Amino acid sequence: MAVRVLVADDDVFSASVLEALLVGAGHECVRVADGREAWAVLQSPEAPRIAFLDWMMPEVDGLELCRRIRERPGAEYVYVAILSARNKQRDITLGFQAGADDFITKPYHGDEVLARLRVAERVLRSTGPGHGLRRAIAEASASGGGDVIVRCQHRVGRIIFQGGRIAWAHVSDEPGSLVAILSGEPDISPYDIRGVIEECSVTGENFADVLVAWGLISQERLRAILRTWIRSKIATIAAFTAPEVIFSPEARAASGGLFFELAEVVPPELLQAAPVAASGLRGAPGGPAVPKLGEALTQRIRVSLDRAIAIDGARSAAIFDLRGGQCLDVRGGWLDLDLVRSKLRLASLSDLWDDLEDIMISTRRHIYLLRPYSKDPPCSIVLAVDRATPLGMARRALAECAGA
Amino acid sequence: MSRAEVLDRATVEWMHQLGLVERLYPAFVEGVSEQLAAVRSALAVGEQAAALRLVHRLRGSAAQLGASALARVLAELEEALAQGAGGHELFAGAALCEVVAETSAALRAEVEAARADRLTRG
Repeated sequence: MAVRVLVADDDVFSASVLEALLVGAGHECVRVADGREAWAVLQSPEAPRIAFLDWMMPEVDGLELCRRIRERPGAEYVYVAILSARNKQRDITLGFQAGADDFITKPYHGDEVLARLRVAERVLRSTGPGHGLRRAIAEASASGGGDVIVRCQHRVGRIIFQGGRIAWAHVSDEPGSLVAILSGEPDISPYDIRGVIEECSVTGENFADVLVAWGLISQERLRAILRTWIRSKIATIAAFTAPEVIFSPEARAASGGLFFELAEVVPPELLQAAPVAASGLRGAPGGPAVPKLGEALTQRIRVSLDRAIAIDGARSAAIFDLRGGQCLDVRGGWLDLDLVRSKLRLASLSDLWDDLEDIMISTRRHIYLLRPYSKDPPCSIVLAVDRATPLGMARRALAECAGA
Repeated sequence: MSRAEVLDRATVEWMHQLGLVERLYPAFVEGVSEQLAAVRSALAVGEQAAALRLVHRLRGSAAQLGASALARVLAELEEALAQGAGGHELFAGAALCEVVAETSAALRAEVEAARADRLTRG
């Protein structure tokens, strides 16, 4: 993914090399020649979130700049790498003591710099504002309904959930009326829309049903327009700088009448899904390190999961280590990791775990089946199926998979 | 000193790959003498810290462009200045002048090679 990187260096040659490297790799480079300019760039609304700062540069040196960055209260986190030809251990320690995340010595080596940039991206993804929004979206989608509210100074974004799906999204200082949304439709006049709104207020119907019933627009067309609209609002909300994010679990009737699956309108990086692994063992995002398993168990896990995901109605299947909660391997897509981990933690503490056949967790969209899988190491197999799936059949099939 | 000893081959090849040889080397070669003159002037008026900053920056540039022999000599000069020495011995000797001359010649040759390569490719 392309990122914007601030490069502050008074050495025009080193800065040019770094710029050519970054631009050649598809990134954007914001280049300045002294610490004061760098500080000004970092105060701007669209400031890069990764800064490569030369140690010895005019006006404000890299270490002092790094200290200032770290002292900003409430500011969005900036990943700072100090650039320097100084490469003694004492120099590197001073860099980290000033608050740097990384220390890159000159001369640069292309592959190394790009690898370090990927580390920066990874750190920002796991600690940045997207992290809070991701968690809130996961919480909201697993609940009956409510609002994810995102505030950035005077701007407030709101994503309205109902039954695990998204009903609406709005940004406080942007238009959000039905007239604005349908302004591109030549056959619908503002007069028509006023009529629809009046009808809705009198009858309690939602506007989607009325628009379609009155023949003003087809359901497919309306759905496509709203999908694009909501997607753009969520993208705007996701770009808020240093936001406060809360989930308010207060279900309410949405007036729109159309609902969208998360994958339709939420950027993939904000979906807290388990990793999809074709084969091999993977750790779940944010989870502890995956323990080493024997070849026989590794193979057995693969076979079990390949069979489990083939069960009718299966959405995802995974195996967890009960000691640390690590996801050892997974098939399929969506999996509510927090939900599964919390239930497994409780189950594994219970004296009954060894005698359990399985545990069922019912959410509004899925049914999760958790079943003991192995004793050494203690593992559980988890299957998520659509709610319409015949449960008896799924439980029997999962038991067979667990024994595979 | 041969061209191979004056330049770090891997770094120079990387500069060719990035397409920076024709863009950066001529400016560096033109600026080296001017930069060293500025260091001398700073030392002459006792501005040790300013001289140190200039040498440090020039050393970084040289290393980044693959002028490894020059970078080594400048590192010694930087170390001497950091230790409080005047750096006059290094400036007085012929070593620095020789390295600058050899480096400049080697970098110019790289520019010619890059230009020829570009023309050959059309």
